[in-house]
Amino acid sequence: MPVQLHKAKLSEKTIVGGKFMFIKLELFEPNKIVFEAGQYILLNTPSTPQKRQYSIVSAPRLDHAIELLVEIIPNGVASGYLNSINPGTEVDFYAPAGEFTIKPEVESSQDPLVLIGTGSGVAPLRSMALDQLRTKETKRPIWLYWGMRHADELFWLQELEELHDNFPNFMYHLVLSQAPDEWTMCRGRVTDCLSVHTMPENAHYYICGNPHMIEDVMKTLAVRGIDPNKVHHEKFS
Amino acid sequence: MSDTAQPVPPVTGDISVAPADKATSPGKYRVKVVRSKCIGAASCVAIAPKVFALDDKNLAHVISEDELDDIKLLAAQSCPTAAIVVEEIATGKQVWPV
Repeated sequence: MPVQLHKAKLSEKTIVGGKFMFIKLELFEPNKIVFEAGQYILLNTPSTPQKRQYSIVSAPRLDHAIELLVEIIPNGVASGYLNSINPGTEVDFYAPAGEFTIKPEVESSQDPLVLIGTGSGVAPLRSMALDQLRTKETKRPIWLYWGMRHADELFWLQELEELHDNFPNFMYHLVLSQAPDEWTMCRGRVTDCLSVHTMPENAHYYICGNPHMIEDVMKTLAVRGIDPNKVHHEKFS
Repeated sequence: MSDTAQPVPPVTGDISVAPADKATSPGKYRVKVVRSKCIGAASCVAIAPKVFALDDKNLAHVISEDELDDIKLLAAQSCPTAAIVVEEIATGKQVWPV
Protein backbone atom coordinates (compact mmCIF):
# COMPACT_ATOMS: atom_id res chain seq x y z
CA MET A 1 0.00 0.00 0.00
CA PRO A 2 1.36 3.46 -0.86
CA VAL A 3 1.78 5.97 1.92
CA GLN A 4 -1.23 8.24 2.14
CA LEU A 5 -2.65 10.90 4.44
CA HIS A 6 -5.07 9.61 7.07
CA LYS A 7 -7.30 11.72 9.28
CA ALA A 8 -8.36 10.30 12.61
CA LYS A 9 -9.74 11.31 15.98
CA LEU A 10 -8.16 10.48 19.28
CA SER A 11 -10.52 8.01 20.91
CA GLU A 12 -8.45 6.66 23.78
CA LYS A 13 -5.39 7.74 25.72
CA THR A 14 -4.17 5.79 28.70
CA ILE A 15 -0.95 6.19 30.66
CA VAL A 16 0.75 2.82 31.02
CA GLY A 17 3.94 1.94 32.84
CA GLY A 18 4.18 5.48 34.18
CA LYS A 19 5.94 6.91 31.15
CA PHE A 20 4.11 5.56 28.10
CA MET A 21 0.81 6.43 26.48
CA PHE A 22 -1.44 3.86 24.85
CA ILE A 23 -3.16 5.82 22.10
CA LYS A 24 -6.09 4.82 19.92
CA LEU A 25 -6.91 6.81 16.81
CA GLU A 26 -10.27 6.21 15.14
CA LEU A 27 -10.03 6.77 11.38
CA PHE A 28 -12.53 8.88 9.49
CA GLU A 29 -10.84 9.87 6.21
CA PRO A 30 -10.31 7.33 4.85
CA ASN A 31 -12.17 5.28 7.42
CA LYS A 32 -10.04 2.16 6.97
CA ILE A 33 -6.35 1.43 6.78
CA VAL A 34 -4.45 -1.42 5.19
CA PHE A 35 -1.04 -2.13 6.64
CA GLU A 36 1.26 -4.97 7.59
CA ALA A 37 2.20 -5.82 11.15
CA GLY A 38 5.44 -4.03 12.00
CA GLN A 39 4.79 -0.90 9.95
CA TYR A 40 4.64 2.63 11.32
CA ILE A 41 2.89 5.96 10.84
CA LEU A 42 4.35 9.41 10.28
CA LEU A 43 2.55 11.71 12.67
CA ASN A 44 1.81 15.34 11.84
CA THR A 45 2.18 17.73 14.72
CA PRO A 46 1.01 21.34 14.66
CA SER A 47 4.27 22.92 15.73
CA THR A 48 6.68 21.55 13.12
CA PRO A 49 6.62 20.07 9.62
CA GLN A 50 8.91 17.29 10.90
CA LYS A 51 6.98 14.04 11.02
CA ARG A 52 7.38 11.65 13.95
CA GLN A 53 7.44 7.90 13.44
CA TYR A 54 5.34 5.67 15.66
CA SER A 55 4.97 1.94 15.12
CA ILE A 56 1.44 0.65 14.99
CA VAL A 57 0.88 -1.54 18.01
CA SER A 58 -2.44 -3.00 16.92
CA ALA A 59 -2.83 -5.86 14.47
CA PRO A 60 -3.88 -5.19 10.87
CA ARG A 61 -7.18 -6.95 11.55
CA LEU A 62 -8.22 -3.78 13.38
CA ASP A 63 -8.65 -1.69 10.23
CA HIS A 64 -10.92 1.15 11.36
CA ALA A 65 -8.46 2.44 13.96
CA ILE A 66 -4.83 2.20 14.90
CA GLU A 67 -3.23 1.90 18.30
CA LEU A 68 0.12 3.38 19.25
CA LEU A 69 2.50 3.11 22.16
CA VAL A 70 4.15 6.44 22.76
CA GLU A 71 6.92 7.08 25.24
CA ILE A 72 6.42 10.39 27.00
CA ILE A 73 9.64 12.31 26.42
CA PRO A 74 10.20 15.44 28.56
CA ASN A 75 9.92 18.38 26.15
CA GLY A 76 9.26 15.96 23.30
CA VAL A 77 7.39 17.67 20.49
CA ALA A 78 5.25 14.77 19.31
CA SER A 79 4.70 12.99 22.62
CA GLY A 80 4.01 16.37 24.24
CA TYR A 81 1.43 17.10 21.56
CA LEU A 82 -0.28 13.73 22.00
CA ASN A 83 -0.18 14.12 25.76
CA SER A 84 -1.85 17.52 25.51
CA ILE A 85 -4.82 16.67 23.31
CA ASN A 86 -8.19 15.35 24.42
CA PRO A 87 -10.40 12.60 22.99
CA GLY A 88 -12.13 13.86 19.85
CA THR A 89 -9.17 15.89 18.67
CA GLU A 90 -8.31 15.39 15.01
CA VAL A 91 -4.92 13.82 14.40
CA ASP A 92 -3.38 13.49 10.94
CA PHE A 93 -0.73 11.05 9.86
CA TYR A 94 0.78 9.42 6.80
CA ALA A 95 0.79 5.62 6.62
CA PRO A 96 1.66 2.87 6.18
CA ALA A 97 5.45 3.09 6.11
CA GLY A 98 8.31 0.77 6.86
CA GLU A 99 9.83 -2.51 5.76
CA PHE A 100 10.03 -4.12 9.21
CA THR A 101 7.49 -6.78 8.37
CA ILE A 102 7.34 -10.53 8.16
CA LYS A 103 8.08 -11.16 4.52
CA PRO A 104 6.06 -13.68 2.45
CA GLU A 105 8.85 -16.26 2.34
CA VAL A 106 8.97 -16.28 6.15
CA GLU A 107 5.19 -16.09 6.38
CA SER A 108 4.81 -19.17 4.23
CA SER A 109 7.26 -21.17 6.30
CA GLN A 110 6.64 -22.51 9.76
CA ASP A 111 10.00 -21.22 10.98
CA PRO A 112 9.93 -19.95 14.57
CA LEU A 113 9.91 -16.21 15.22
CA VAL A 114 11.95 -14.51 17.92
CA LEU A 115 10.78 -10.96 18.66
CA ILE A 116 13.21 -8.82 20.66
CA GLY A 117 12.44 -5.31 21.88
CA THR A 118 13.25 -2.83 24.59
CA GLY A 119 10.97 -0.12 25.95
CA SER A 120 8.44 1.08 23.40
CA GLY A 121 10.33 -1.01 20.84
CA VAL A 122 7.86 -3.72 21.78
CA ALA A 123 5.21 -1.85 19.74
CA PRO A 124 5.68 -3.41 16.27
CA LEU A 125 6.45 -6.77 17.89
CA ARG A 126 3.07 -6.78 19.63
CA SER A 127 1.39 -6.12 16.29
CA MET A 128 3.32 -9.02 14.76
CA ALA A 129 2.54 -11.39 17.60
CA LEU A 130 -1.19 -10.57 17.61
CA ASP A 131 -1.35 -10.87 13.83
CA GLN A 132 0.44 -14.20 13.82
CA LEU A 133 -1.47 -15.73 16.71
CA ARG A 134 -4.98 -14.37 16.48
CA THR A 135 -5.40 -13.58 12.79
CA LYS A 136 -3.16 -16.05 11.01
CA GLU A 137 -3.51 -18.67 13.72
CA THR A 138 0.06 -19.78 13.22
CA LYS A 139 1.30 -22.81 15.09
CA ARG A 140 4.95 -21.87 14.78
CA PRO A 141 6.80 -21.10 18.01
CA ILE A 142 6.98 -17.38 18.79
CA TRP A 143 9.21 -16.00 21.52
CA LEU A 144 9.01 -12.41 22.74
CA TYR A 145 11.94 -10.90 24.65
CA TRP A 146 11.03 -7.54 26.15
CA GLY A 147 13.53 -5.48 28.05
CA MET A 148 12.60 -2.69 30.44
CA ARG A 149 14.39 -0.89 33.23
CA HIS A 150 12.14 -1.08 36.28
CA ALA A 151 9.35 -3.44 37.29
CA ASP A 152 6.87 -0.58 37.69
CA GLU A 153 7.34 0.31 34.00
CA LEU A 154 5.90 -3.01 32.87
CA PHE A 155 2.41 -3.24 31.42
CA TRP A 156 0.37 -5.62 29.24
CA LEU A 157 1.36 -8.41 31.64
CA GLN A 158 -2.15 -9.83 31.76
CA GLU A 159 -2.39 -9.73 27.97
CA LEU A 160 0.94 -11.53 27.61
CA GLU A 161 -0.13 -14.19 30.07
CA GLU A 162 -3.47 -14.64 28.31
CA LEU A 163 -1.71 -14.99 24.97
CA HIS A 164 0.54 -17.63 26.46
CA ASP A 165 -2.46 -19.44 27.97
CA ASN A 166 -4.47 -19.32 24.75
CA PHE A 167 -1.61 -20.01 22.38
CA PRO A 168 0.87 -22.53 23.80
CA ASN A 169 3.27 -21.74 20.95
CA PHE A 170 3.70 -18.20 22.35
CA MET A 171 6.36 -17.72 25.00
CA TYR A 172 7.72 -14.53 26.49
CA HIS A 173 10.63 -13.36 28.60
CA LEU A 174 10.58 -10.11 30.51
CA VAL A 175 13.99 -8.64 31.26
CA LEU A 176 14.64 -5.90 33.81
CA SER A 177 17.93 -4.03 33.88
CA GLN A 178 17.20 -2.79 37.41
CA ALA A 179 15.21 -5.65 38.80
CA PRO A 180 14.00 -5.76 42.40
CA ASP A 181 15.27 -8.58 44.62
CA GLU A 182 12.05 -10.55 44.27
CA TRP A 183 12.18 -10.56 40.45
CA THR A 184 12.26 -14.14 39.19
CA MET A 185 12.64 -13.61 35.46
CA CYS A 186 15.67 -12.38 33.50
CA ARG A 187 17.89 -9.61 34.85
CA GLY A 188 20.25 -7.27 33.08
CA ARG A 189 20.12 -6.37 29.43
CA VAL A 190 18.01 -8.17 26.91
CA THR A 191 21.24 -9.64 25.52
CA ASP A 192 21.89 -11.25 28.92
CA CYS A 193 18.54 -12.99 28.65
CA LEU A 194 19.20 -14.06 25.05
CA SER A 195 22.56 -15.49 26.11
CA VAL A 196 21.04 -17.94 28.57
CA HIS A 197 18.23 -19.21 26.36
CA THR A 198 18.27 -21.50 23.36
CA MET A 199 18.35 -19.63 20.07
CA PRO A 200 16.71 -21.77 17.39
CA GLU A 201 18.88 -21.75 14.27
CA ASN A 202 15.96 -21.85 11.86
CA ALA A 203 14.15 -18.94 13.50
CA HIS A 204 13.77 -15.45 12.11
CA TYR A 205 14.74 -12.69 14.51
CA TYR A 206 12.99 -9.32 14.63
CA ILE A 207 14.63 -6.64 16.76
CA CYS A 208 13.28 -3.20 17.63
CA GLY A 209 14.97 -0.66 19.86
CA ASN A 210 17.60 2.04 19.89
CA PRO A 211 20.63 1.68 17.59
CA HIS A 212 22.96 0.57 20.43
CA MET A 213 20.55 -2.12 21.57
CA ILE A 214 20.18 -3.42 18.03
CA GLU A 215 23.94 -3.53 17.55
CA ASP A 216 24.37 -5.43 20.84
CA VAL A 217 21.63 -7.92 20.01
CA MET A 218 23.01 -8.52 16.53
CA LYS A 219 26.46 -9.20 18.01
CA THR A 220 24.94 -11.60 20.53
CA LEU A 221 23.04 -13.45 17.81
CA ALA A 222 26.16 -13.59 15.63
CA VAL A 223 28.11 -15.14 18.50
CA ARG A 224 25.33 -17.70 18.84
CA GLY A 225 25.80 -18.58 15.17
CA ILE A 226 22.57 -17.09 13.85
CA ASP A 227 22.56 -16.43 10.11
CA PRO A 228 22.52 -12.61 9.70
CA ASN A 229 20.10 -13.01 6.80
CA LYS A 230 17.54 -14.17 9.35
CA VAL A 231 17.96 -11.11 11.53
CA HIS A 232 15.71 -8.13 10.83
CA HIS A 233 15.62 -4.87 12.73
CA GLU A 234 13.94 -1.49 13.16
CA LYS A 235 15.95 1.29 14.72
CA PHE A 236 14.35 3.93 16.90
CA SER A 237 16.01 7.31 16.76
CA MET B 1 7.78 34.81 16.24
CA SER B 2 11.21 35.84 15.05
CA ASP B 3 11.59 37.28 11.58
CA THR B 4 15.31 36.73 11.51
CA ALA B 5 16.82 34.05 9.31
CA GLN B 6 17.12 30.67 10.96
CA PRO B 7 20.58 29.09 11.04
CA VAL B 8 21.07 26.48 8.38
CA PRO B 9 22.61 23.27 9.72
CA PRO B 10 25.88 22.51 7.95
CA VAL B 11 25.82 19.58 5.57
CA THR B 12 28.82 17.39 6.17
CA GLY B 13 29.80 13.78 5.77
CA ASP B 14 29.04 11.34 3.02
CA ILE B 15 26.56 13.07 0.69
CA SER B 16 24.46 11.20 -1.83
CA VAL B 17 22.95 13.02 -4.81
CA ALA B 18 21.14 11.73 -7.87
CA PRO B 19 23.29 10.24 -10.63
CA ALA B 20 23.91 12.68 -13.47
CA ASP B 21 21.52 10.97 -15.88
CA LYS B 22 18.72 11.04 -13.28
CA ALA B 23 19.37 14.51 -11.91
CA THR B 24 16.74 16.40 -13.87
CA SER B 25 13.95 17.50 -11.58
CA PRO B 26 10.43 18.27 -12.80
CA GLY B 27 10.10 20.83 -10.01
CA LYS B 28 12.16 23.45 -8.23
CA TYR B 29 13.72 21.24 -5.52
CA ARG B 30 16.57 18.77 -5.42
CA VAL B 31 17.53 16.45 -2.59
CA LYS B 32 20.66 15.12 -0.92
CA VAL B 33 21.11 12.40 1.68
CA VAL B 34 23.62 12.95 4.47
CA ARG B 35 24.46 9.29 4.83
CA SER B 36 26.35 9.69 8.09
CA LYS B 37 23.01 10.72 9.65
CA CYS B 38 20.92 7.99 8.03
CA ILE B 39 19.75 5.13 10.28
CA GLY B 40 17.97 3.20 7.55
CA ALA B 41 14.46 3.87 8.81
CA ALA B 42 13.38 3.94 5.14
CA SER B 43 10.49 6.35 5.56
CA CYS B 44 11.90 8.25 2.56
CA VAL B 45 11.76 5.07 0.48
CA ALA B 46 8.18 4.46 1.56
CA ILE B 47 7.10 7.95 0.55
CA ALA B 48 9.28 8.57 -2.49
CA PRO B 49 10.46 5.23 -3.90
CA LYS B 50 11.34 6.88 -7.23
CA VAL B 51 13.81 9.17 -5.46
CA PHE B 52 15.32 7.14 -2.62
CA ALA B 53 16.51 3.58 -2.16
CA LEU B 54 18.42 1.68 0.48
CA ASP B 55 21.82 0.25 -0.42
CA ASP B 56 23.41 -2.95 0.86
CA LYS B 57 24.44 -1.10 4.04
CA ASN B 58 20.77 -0.28 4.64
CA LEU B 59 21.48 3.41 4.14
CA ALA B 60 19.43 5.70 1.91
CA HIS B 61 20.78 7.16 -1.27
CA VAL B 62 19.30 9.28 -4.05
CA ILE B 63 18.50 7.39 -7.22
CA SER B 64 16.59 10.05 -9.13
CA GLU B 65 15.16 13.56 -8.92
CA ASP B 66 12.12 12.53 -10.94
CA GLU B 67 9.39 13.32 -8.43
CA LEU B 68 7.07 16.14 -7.41
CA ASP B 69 8.41 18.72 -4.97
CA ASP B 70 5.69 18.00 -2.39
CA ILE B 71 6.63 14.34 -2.26
CA LYS B 72 10.34 15.12 -1.91
CA LEU B 73 9.64 17.55 0.91
CA LEU B 74 7.33 15.11 2.71
CA ALA B 75 9.95 12.36 2.45
CA ALA B 76 12.57 14.70 3.92
CA GLN B 77 10.27 15.82 6.71
CA SER B 78 9.56 12.18 7.53
CA CYS B 79 13.20 11.34 8.13
CA PRO B 80 13.65 10.85 11.89
CA THR B 81 17.23 12.09 11.79
CA ALA B 82 16.78 14.93 9.27
CA ALA B 83 19.29 13.20 7.01
CA ILE B 84 17.66 14.49 3.84
CA VAL B 85 18.42 18.01 2.67
CA VAL B 86 16.06 19.76 0.26
CA GLU B 87 17.41 22.67 -1.74
CA GLU B 88 15.97 25.09 -4.26
CA ILE B 89 17.71 24.37 -7.54
CA ALA B 90 17.65 27.97 -8.75
CA THR B 91 19.11 29.56 -5.64
CA GLY B 92 20.81 26.72 -3.77
CA LYS B 93 18.82 27.78 -0.70
CA GLN B 94 18.19 25.01 1.80
CA VAL B 95 14.46 24.64 2.44
CA TRP B 96 14.71 21.57 4.72
CA PRO B 97 15.81 21.09 7.44
CA VAL B 98 15.34 24.66 8.65
